[in-house]
Amino acid sequence: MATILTVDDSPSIRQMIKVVLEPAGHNVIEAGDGAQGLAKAQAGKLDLVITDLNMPVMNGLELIRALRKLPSAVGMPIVFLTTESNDTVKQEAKSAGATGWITKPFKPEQLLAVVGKLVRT
Amino acid sequence: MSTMDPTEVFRQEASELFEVLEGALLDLGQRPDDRELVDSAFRALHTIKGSGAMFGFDKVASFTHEFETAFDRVRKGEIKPTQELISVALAAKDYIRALIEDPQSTDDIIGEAILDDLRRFVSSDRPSAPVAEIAEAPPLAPNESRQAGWHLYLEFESHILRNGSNPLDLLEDLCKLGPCFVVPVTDGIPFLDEMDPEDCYLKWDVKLHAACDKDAIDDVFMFVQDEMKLTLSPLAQVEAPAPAPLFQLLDEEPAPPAETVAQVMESAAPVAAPPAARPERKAEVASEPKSDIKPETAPARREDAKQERGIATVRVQAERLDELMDRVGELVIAQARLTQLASAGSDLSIKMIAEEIERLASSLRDTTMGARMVPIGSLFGRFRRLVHDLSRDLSKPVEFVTSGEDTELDKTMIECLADPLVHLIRNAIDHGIEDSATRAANGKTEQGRIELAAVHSGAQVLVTVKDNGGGLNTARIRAKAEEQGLIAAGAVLSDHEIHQFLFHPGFSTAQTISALSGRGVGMDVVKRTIENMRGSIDLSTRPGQGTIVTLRLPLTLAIIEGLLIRVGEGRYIIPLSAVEECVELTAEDERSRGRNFLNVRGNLVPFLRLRELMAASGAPDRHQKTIIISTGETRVGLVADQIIGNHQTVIKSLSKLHSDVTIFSGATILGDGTAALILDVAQLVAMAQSKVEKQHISEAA
Repeated sequence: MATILTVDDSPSIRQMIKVVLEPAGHNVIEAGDGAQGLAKAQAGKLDLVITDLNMPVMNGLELIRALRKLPSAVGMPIVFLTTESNDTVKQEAKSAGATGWITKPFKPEQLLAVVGKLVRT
Repeated sequence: MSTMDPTEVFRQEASELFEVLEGALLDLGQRPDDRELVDSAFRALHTIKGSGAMFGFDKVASFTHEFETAFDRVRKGEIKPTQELISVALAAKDYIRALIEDPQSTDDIIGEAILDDLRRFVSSDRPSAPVAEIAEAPPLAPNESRQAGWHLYLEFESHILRNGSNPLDLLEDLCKLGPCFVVPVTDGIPFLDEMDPEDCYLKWDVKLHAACDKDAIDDVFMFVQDEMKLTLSPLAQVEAPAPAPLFQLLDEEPAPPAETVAQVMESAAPVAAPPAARPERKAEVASEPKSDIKPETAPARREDAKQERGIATVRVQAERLDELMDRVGELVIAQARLTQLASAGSDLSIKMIAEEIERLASSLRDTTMGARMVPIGSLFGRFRRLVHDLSRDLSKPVEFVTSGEDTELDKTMIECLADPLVHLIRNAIDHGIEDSATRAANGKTEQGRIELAAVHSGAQVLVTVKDNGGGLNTARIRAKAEEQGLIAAGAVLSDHEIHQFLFHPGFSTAQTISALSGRGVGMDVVKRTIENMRGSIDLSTRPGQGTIVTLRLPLTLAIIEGLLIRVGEGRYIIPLSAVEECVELTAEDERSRGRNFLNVRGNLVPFLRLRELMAASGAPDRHQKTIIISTGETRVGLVADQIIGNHQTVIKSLSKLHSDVTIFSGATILGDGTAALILDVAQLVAMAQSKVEKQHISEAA
């Protein structure tokens, strides 16, 4: 069982992720923005972070950069959600330290496929 | 909350977002320059778009996308949010809200009209991407090829692990596509001290035996495509059905048939060089059956044997050997410098070369010294004639026995040894062996006996001249010494000390000067010659039974193996042949100050503190080391600050100015160009012994 943090200002997206991943045997914790997400990451060991990019207080890019500075998050996979199909956003997030991405809108199978790629149980 | 339907959550969330959006748009009318408001409005739109698409509100998604695209110029600050624009934006917002809350009541035409208005205001001529393209994953490309598999060469950027990608997971995913031969390529791995444990240095060469789509492979690497170099080429045909384990050693890989290799090589041309080169080597090996090797080596050996029977020796001018030895000596010093330099740096390849050169220099030294080694028998042969002639001239029948003729000594040493031995043998016959009458009277065989023997003892060679004559006449030597004023009459001296006068220049007890001996030029010259060779000479005698003269000689004159130690600032060499072991000076030994005895596995060994002996300045090292040296039976510990290590010592003799310095036998040049003194082990042992005796005396008193 992996502990997965979902960071999104949209409760519905968080709910969607929870509904898909919890039956797959994962422990999903939530955060409403980057700052909350960072606090959750500092509080305990995570196996995966799924974060939105566009968020108030601390956006996804800032969160990814902050997470990569945490010693506990070295090598931890970070996935970002994006509606953009253009590569500049992906490039920016990747160079900030993201591992992969999920293009919104996504289907439950797509989410499970990406999580399965990055989390080995 | 966790049991709620996400769609219902979205509806609630959307209504909140609309409030945010509406508020932001209205405020923007008052404060058109407030970036915060623009961002806030934009974020709300973005979330509605993203979530809307997630929960099946496709119309919401596509409309919001258009709205967002139009509004993007406002966000970028390219156009100002005018009142008109805000009005349209609010209308658009209402339309979206209707799309979510009551889709039936909406009309696409109204939506289009609103969008047209928006576009007009922002005069966006950009073609907008239809949202469908985002929503759907690109369809799989049709099967491009029918080949049996793929040859992949994977090279990741070094930071890949840090960002949470695990190449092993990727390889595992790759293996799910079909049987894989995975061979790690290790040539990118740096030296340990340059290695960042969080970096990825491995590369992989993978043969995937599965006719899968290129897209399937791309899918495995989708997240890392920008951070890796993936060289992909099709495999020509199924090489082996391969019940393939995940990872397999290169050697275990079943060798493909030769024609397949050729095909692979052709088709694998764009692949990086190393993997392409490998099958080539294999093909070579395969074309050369192993059975060929044996018949080749057998005749070679026979030839060797023939050569052995042929030219056995080459005569070389002695000077050339001397020159060679000099060069080797210089080489050893240069090599020591290289070793020191290499060990100070971190370049592993230089270190490896330095070690290689050290090994070569060491074996070159041994070989050169070996080439200079001559069996002492050649020298002994000369004395047979000498003894015969002397015996005849002096009418003393003498039997001459030699042993250890094949003991080898340095060529120069043999030459230097000739004269001293002549002296010693002459003395033995002239002074040692009594005439036949005396011998008969003393119940000895008429024929005297002189034994000349050579034997290896550690790194030394002992040459002994032994006669069964009358022994030294201690009283006569003493009388002569008193007569010559060398000692005061009545001085207390041991027999051994008295015998040392024989080595005094101009000292002769022979009552008649014969043609052969007794001129007083002999023993002192002998002693000096032997000592110049770093040897020592010792006399032992038993009245009526004979005298034994023992010469202790080092194997070679030029180079010794030494143990380099540090005492204070100074560095010293102890001949390694004399070193028995190194132990730490324990606190317990330290406490027994004044007694200077060391407990080595139950044996008491006296020790000398080199710091005191050398008057070393500065603080001593906390952990003092003791080097146990021995000469024959006696063992002595030398306490030093540090044991630096093995050192091939090229011996340079000390100048005449230092001839009275007894505890050093020479000096050498270290790798860094500084000099180190070579400790004279025999002298140090003697010094420790006399200290012990003094201590005994003081304790007794």
